[in-house]
Amino acid sequence: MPMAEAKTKALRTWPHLAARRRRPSEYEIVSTNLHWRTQFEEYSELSPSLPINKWYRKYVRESPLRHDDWDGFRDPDEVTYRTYTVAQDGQEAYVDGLLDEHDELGHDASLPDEWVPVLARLYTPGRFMLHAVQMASAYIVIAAPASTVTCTAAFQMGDALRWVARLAYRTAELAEHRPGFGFAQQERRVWEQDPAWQGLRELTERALVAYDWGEAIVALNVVLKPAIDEAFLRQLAAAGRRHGDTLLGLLADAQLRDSDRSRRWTKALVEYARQHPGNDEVLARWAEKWVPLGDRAMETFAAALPESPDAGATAVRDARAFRTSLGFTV
Amino acid sequence: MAADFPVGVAVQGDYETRLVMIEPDATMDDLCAAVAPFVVGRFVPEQPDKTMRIKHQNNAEPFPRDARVKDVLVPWDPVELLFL
Amino acid sequence: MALLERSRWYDLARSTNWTPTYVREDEIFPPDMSDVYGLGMDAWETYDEPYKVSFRDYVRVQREKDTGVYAVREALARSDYYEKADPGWMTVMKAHYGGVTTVEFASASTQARMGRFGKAGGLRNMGAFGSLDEIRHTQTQLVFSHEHLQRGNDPEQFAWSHYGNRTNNWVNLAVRHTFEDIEHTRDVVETAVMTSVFEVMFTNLQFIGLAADAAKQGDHRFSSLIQSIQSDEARHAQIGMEVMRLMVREGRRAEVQRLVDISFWRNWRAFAPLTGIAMDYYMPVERREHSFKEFMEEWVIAQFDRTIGDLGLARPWYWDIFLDELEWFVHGQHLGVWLLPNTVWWNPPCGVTPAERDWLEQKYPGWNATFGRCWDVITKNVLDGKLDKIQLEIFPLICHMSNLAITGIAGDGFRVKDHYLDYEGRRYHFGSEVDRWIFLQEPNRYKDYKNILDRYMDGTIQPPTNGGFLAYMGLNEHSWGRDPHNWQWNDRFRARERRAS
Repeated sequence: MPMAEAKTKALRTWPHLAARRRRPSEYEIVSTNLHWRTQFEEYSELSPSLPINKWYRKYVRESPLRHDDWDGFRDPDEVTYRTYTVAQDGQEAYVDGLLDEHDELGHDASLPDEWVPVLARLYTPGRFMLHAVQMASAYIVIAAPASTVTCTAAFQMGDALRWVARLAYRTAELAEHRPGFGFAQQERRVWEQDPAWQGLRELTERALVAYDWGEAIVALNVVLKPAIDEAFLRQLAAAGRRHGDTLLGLLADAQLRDSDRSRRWTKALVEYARQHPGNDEVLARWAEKWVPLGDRAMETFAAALPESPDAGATAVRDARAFRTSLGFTV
Repeated sequence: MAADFPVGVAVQGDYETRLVMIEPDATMDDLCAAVAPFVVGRFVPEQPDKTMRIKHQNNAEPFPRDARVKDVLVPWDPVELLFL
Repeated sequence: MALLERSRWYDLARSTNWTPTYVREDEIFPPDMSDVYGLGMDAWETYDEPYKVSFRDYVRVQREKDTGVYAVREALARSDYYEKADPGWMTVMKAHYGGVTTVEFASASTQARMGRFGKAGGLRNMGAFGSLDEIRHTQTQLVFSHEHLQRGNDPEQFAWSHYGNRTNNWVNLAVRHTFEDIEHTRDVVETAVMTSVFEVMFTNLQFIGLAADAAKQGDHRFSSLIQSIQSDEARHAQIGMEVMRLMVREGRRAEVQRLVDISFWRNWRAFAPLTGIAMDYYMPVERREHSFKEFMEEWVIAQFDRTIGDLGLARPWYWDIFLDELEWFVHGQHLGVWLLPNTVWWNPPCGVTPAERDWLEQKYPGWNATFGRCWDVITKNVLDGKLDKIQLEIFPLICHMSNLAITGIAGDGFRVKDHYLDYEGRRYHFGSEVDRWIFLQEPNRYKDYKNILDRYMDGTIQPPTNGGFLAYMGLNEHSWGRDPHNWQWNDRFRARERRAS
């Protein structure tokens, strides 16, 4: 048995961070190199024949998106659980304030009659889509080969949970304040059957089953979420402001703040991926597959917006601008 | 001959079963001699007035002292070393 | 504020299933991932999570909790508590952090997997919150353990908190095999049930027992951290409880029983060496609250009985075996670790000075005549200066399920058994009849596994020497363990001998 002497040499930080000569941030201390599922030959110590071991081999280990060190990815915002709850507590207090104030103003009661059915058709049924974003973000949590990607995806999942809850809240309010329009009753039927939603529903369903982890990033963060941002948030809100619905726009702005955070880490991840030879082609291939679905989704939805002839084209253009900033050419 | 026959040995009074690699031709006495220095006097007391005997874990009676490992055991069999 | 009560909108937030038509439902919810029991959407629509929370309340409450924990940390930042703390207490913390921290992070994926592949909207939402909780637990414990690096006392041992489960250390193999089986390699239904047994019953051991012991030791920084973590458990631990109720409603009680039986035992075998040894041997004896057995009885067994009573389940078939092991299992495990301290990342105290032996005899009557007999031999060798005789040079068989040494009862009560199994031409070794039974429940799940002894025997570990073994397990002279009291504990035996003579 070794009789080691008392050790007095301190470590500045975890060994994997010690090579760099600067202090690590709290984010780096708590977010980096935490997965064991990527460390060994197999996903788990249990038999390679198990369905989930095969799943990981196929959709993560053998993904065409490659990198020598996914663990090197960093969220540019360096969000940790602690900073996330602090920030979102503040943001939620703000949204509580919006809802309370607009309730006191009798906002819903004063909405014009021609606008209310638009909300029942094109707003409240969106909760299925937003929940699917939550599910798809959860998939990135479990599939990502880097703990830093897992963490940012978890906070994105939290954001989605947040906005499903807020939309459910608004649905309940509208059902109470404007009865007879089917709020809190018709949403599933509308989501499943109304032509306006079918582009987004198709995109959503297909994104949910994009199981290659890299393709999941493209389908969700490069195409679906931006389509939701542009069509469902920005263009619907613009139409709302023309019809006296100020609350919708304010809530959309608050939701877009969360979306912008997602865009920042998505951009960082795509740039990181592009470092590795061959990934440009892989990303381009996925973009070619998913972008048309996204464009059609936005156009179909926006076409249903009242007095908004340019909404579809604007949404498509703005989604493309985001993709261009990520180095995509479609 | 190589000591490549694995046997799991639980010495009477010890707290765990231990892996011993022994020659297939070794006798039960050889097996005891191979194990004892690592356990007796370390985790169980010496018992010089007793004889060390090997019993298969599942049997009631010990093997004859000159029985050979390859004849009475299969690789990875569990045995007990008793002081009788 | 004139805001709506949560109950007005809560059901809408979890009514999120629809009928897909562009892809198939079984593509969105593959049975292998979502529900191997085929319970059907109608059943899943009855899922009703008992603990309900909104995102708004969640972030507010969690922010307050974190503020509390970090405030305590801040307040104690200048304290020299850790410079003066008993090495045994420091050992408990190192072992905890090294085993537990990244298990929490892996659980973030377990919860998210339920959040993605669960077929009930409420279950998916609870999984999302649960995933965030586990990230909280991971990150908070990383912050706290990271600070130990800079104090200069065994920093490499505290560093295990970050990377331990990425090594092939035998303890971490045991941890990974156990929690991969319970949490990471099953569909949502089995995962939810098995993880709940872990969360509802066994985490109490580590997080309530440990918090109480920390407070008794005067380590309020660690105590407040651990209590705060456990306060999240009640909420997300309920996910699987509701799955169990749903399965029972659907007439699948026998399946639930089987899953509970498997999970309970696997948890028992994981927590006994981690928490049990800490409570019975590492915690300084003057401040020990309870024995491991007592804590199991009060917190785990009582909780378990309440839970299974509510669900109409029975105690597992092996209950008598379990109660028997409560009396002796931890003691053999402690001996094994103490004799091979350089295979672990903490410094294991012997825990058998005269005062400690008296405590052990009181808590486990008959200890002196069983395990005490081994320690009698060991202690005499130490007192006689024959330290070569406490070297362990002959290695234990390792259980193919728990990955622990196959131990039993020592001394006068000698009973050590290899519960082996011959399956498809290969012999497997198990430390208990129950571990063997678990293997036979689903052999394809376990049969390819090579434990650390197999890896030594088949040439995976190179070179096949002690040095190669330790390197394979990720240890070096800065991280492996040694006697934390520098053998001073034997002075107490000399003192007792002098008094006796």
